[in-house]
Amino acid sequence: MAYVRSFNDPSFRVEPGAFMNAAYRLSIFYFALFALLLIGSAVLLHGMKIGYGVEELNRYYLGDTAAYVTAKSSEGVLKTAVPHLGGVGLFVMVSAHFFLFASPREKRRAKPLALLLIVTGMLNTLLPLLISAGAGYLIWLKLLSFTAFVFGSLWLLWLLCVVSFSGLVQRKCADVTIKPLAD
Amino acid sequence: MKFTLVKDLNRDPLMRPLLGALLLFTFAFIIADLFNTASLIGLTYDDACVALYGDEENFMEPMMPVVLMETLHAAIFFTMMLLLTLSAIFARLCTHERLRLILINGVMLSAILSLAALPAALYAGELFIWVWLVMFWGWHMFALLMTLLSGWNLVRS
Repeated sequence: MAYVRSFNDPSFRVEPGAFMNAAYRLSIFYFALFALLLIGSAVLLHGMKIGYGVEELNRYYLGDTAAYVTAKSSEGVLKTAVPHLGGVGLFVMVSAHFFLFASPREKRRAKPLALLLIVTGMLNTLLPLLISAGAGYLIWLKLLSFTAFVFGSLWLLWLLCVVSFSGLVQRKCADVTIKPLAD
Repeated sequence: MKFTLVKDLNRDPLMRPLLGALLLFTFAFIIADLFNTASLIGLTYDDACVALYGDEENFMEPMMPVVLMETLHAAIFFTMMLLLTLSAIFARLCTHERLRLILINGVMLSAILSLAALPAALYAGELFIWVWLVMFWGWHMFALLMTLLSGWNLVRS
């Protein structure tokens, strides 16, 4: 039987969640724990370097002459933005693509979350460039996008844990199960 | 992760060299990370104490929390992606189920604990430096073993 090379053939279907054995589910579960650490460190780092309030963000990006704080340069903002543009996209893609193996119901729940993460992740990374160029009124949007990205990621990771952990508890799956559709 | 669907992975003409190269890079990363951490923090209890808390006698400043957090933030991302890929390859190439589960649990748990123990050592005391040391060496050894076993299974077929 043509097995994997014809995976995209519409005459074959993958049983939802069927080929994910315990080892894959464990890897995904641990990936979610790592991602939790990553988000936790991001929130702490944001607090240590910038702060969580509008005033603090204003001071960090636009400077404060009374407190002898210089404005953040575009080069400085770009230095932070470049690794995040690569990292955020990769993080959202890798986290959300595991739902490819989940049931249609779980997929439906994950899709809007993944879209939210893409939009807020992009805004959160690019807005500081505009803010440092003088668009101080966008600080609210930056704060909102950061908050939405953090809570959206936590929700997505929770779904991921539920999908992987419930599979571990309920059954021990076979390595690969691809069944031909009935004629 | 689609390579997890290829049935005879170690006989596939495209995937075999690709996975071999990836395992080679992973091996190099793990070794290089040991040297990098040795220069940043140290790989012994005394070196890590000096790096984190400073040394007044030798006029060495303690590590700033924001610097540690920046280093950790990047390390979490790279470790997460590396170990996810490595464990997926290992799960596919290792046929011994018990060994597979022991090593994947071992590498993931020790890596997570090592990343969490470093800031804990900065704020909660020197005891966590021991935790960090054991877990750091642990995940590197587990990851090296997984890389070598995967490579062996890939070459052997």
